[in-house]
Amino acid sequence: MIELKNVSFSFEEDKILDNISLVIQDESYIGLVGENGSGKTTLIRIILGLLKPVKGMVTNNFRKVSYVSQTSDNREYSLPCTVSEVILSGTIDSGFWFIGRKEKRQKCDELIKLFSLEKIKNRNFSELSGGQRQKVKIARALASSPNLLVLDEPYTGIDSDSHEMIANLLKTYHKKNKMAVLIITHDKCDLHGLDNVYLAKSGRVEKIKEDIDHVSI
Amino acid sequence: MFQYKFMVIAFIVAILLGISLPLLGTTAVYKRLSMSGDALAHSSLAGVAIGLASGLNPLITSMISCVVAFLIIEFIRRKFQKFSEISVAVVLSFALGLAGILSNASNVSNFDSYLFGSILLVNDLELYLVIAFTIVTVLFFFFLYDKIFLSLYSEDEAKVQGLKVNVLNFFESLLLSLVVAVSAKTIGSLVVSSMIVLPIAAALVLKLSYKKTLFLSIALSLISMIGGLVISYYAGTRSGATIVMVATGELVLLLLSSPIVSHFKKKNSSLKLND
Repeated sequence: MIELKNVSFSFEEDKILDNISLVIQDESYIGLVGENGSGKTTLIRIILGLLKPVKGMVTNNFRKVSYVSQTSDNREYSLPCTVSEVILSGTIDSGFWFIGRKEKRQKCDELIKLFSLEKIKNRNFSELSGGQRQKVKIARALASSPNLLVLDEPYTGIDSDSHEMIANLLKTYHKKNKMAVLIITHDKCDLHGLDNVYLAKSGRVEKIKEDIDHVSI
Repeated sequence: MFQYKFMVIAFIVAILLGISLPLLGTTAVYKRLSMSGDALAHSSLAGVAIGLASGLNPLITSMISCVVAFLIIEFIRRKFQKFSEISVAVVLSFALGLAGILSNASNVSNFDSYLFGSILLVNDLELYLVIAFTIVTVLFFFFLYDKIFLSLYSEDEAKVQGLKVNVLNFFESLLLSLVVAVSAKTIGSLVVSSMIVLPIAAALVLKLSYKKTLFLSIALSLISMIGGLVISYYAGTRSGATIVMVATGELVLLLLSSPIVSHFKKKNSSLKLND
């Protein structure tokens, strides 16, 4: 479980998050929506421990957390690496890389098969299309079998077939592996059937109680 | 050639630096800090000038100035996160200015030997330092191979996965600073920055995996170092400058042959898909 208590964050004079309290329960599937500049990514970065709040407290009891950042956050375009190497990097833990290498490779091969990436597994990651790259990034995030998976607009650049395939895979993984999921999205279709949906607006976050279709994002 | 002890030592130093420089160079290049080698090399010159002017051991002052320079680079890099190359430019300019002013107060012939290197005149202390730093660099990259890859792929995702990215970056830069300081005396401060970038640039042309690019850049670096030394011995040219010319030749050769290589790669992958 992750709990945020009265969290505030400001950058210089601008207040980006104002007194936010939020709980992500174990095994829950949560959506976070909001306009550009509403503080979604800042909130995610605080939840992940990448930013420290100016005020308030964050308690994280999840043992393993995985994060799929927006593509533009990475140096991935310049780094020479294959799809297999990227997915395998998801299994990295505090131990040395050669310990349990066989099992890690096996896990990586399973994900390559699950995401239908066999044909491109030896291709250079930077040469892939935006959609293929997103699939690889999500497969990478699942390689560590996380307790919490955080996805920042994961469907950007993905075609509708792959979108549906990944959404179903995430739901299956969420149920089978008892993994909590926090997803930032602009697409209302991704919010149906979730345990909770939060709307970020003007530095505040509120739980959406009414029908998702009636909320303007 | 090998009947001379100084040539044997020169080859040992060339091989060891041929391994450690591209290893440390890859992390600098992928972090878009390929000019950091240049800034550190110039800082080592400033350190040498301080040493020669003050009567202290120039190798020691050069190592201290490189470490201070890297700390300043890291500090400025954090202030200008989106423009990390600014930090390198600032330190490079300052070091060059300082070296220029202090070189007047130093023994000029000694100063020249740091500028162009003197791999044939390596003393025992320099040899031991090169051996020690190469062993530490190889062990560092062997044991932390996967973590270094992850930190280069995405610092944010690495941090979320529990990796101490800042600690890793600190030790990478510290090692780079020390290796550059020692290399400046042996192969020359003007040569060392080239050897941090050229083998990696040449290996990048082939668009291989991370692991293959790493090994290829070491292989190319070793060819430049050994080839450069052999050519300079027979041609009577400066060893450091010849090493850089061989490394540049490798890059040009790979750039010219890359269309042919990618043609065969495409043909090969389409054959596999048809199968």
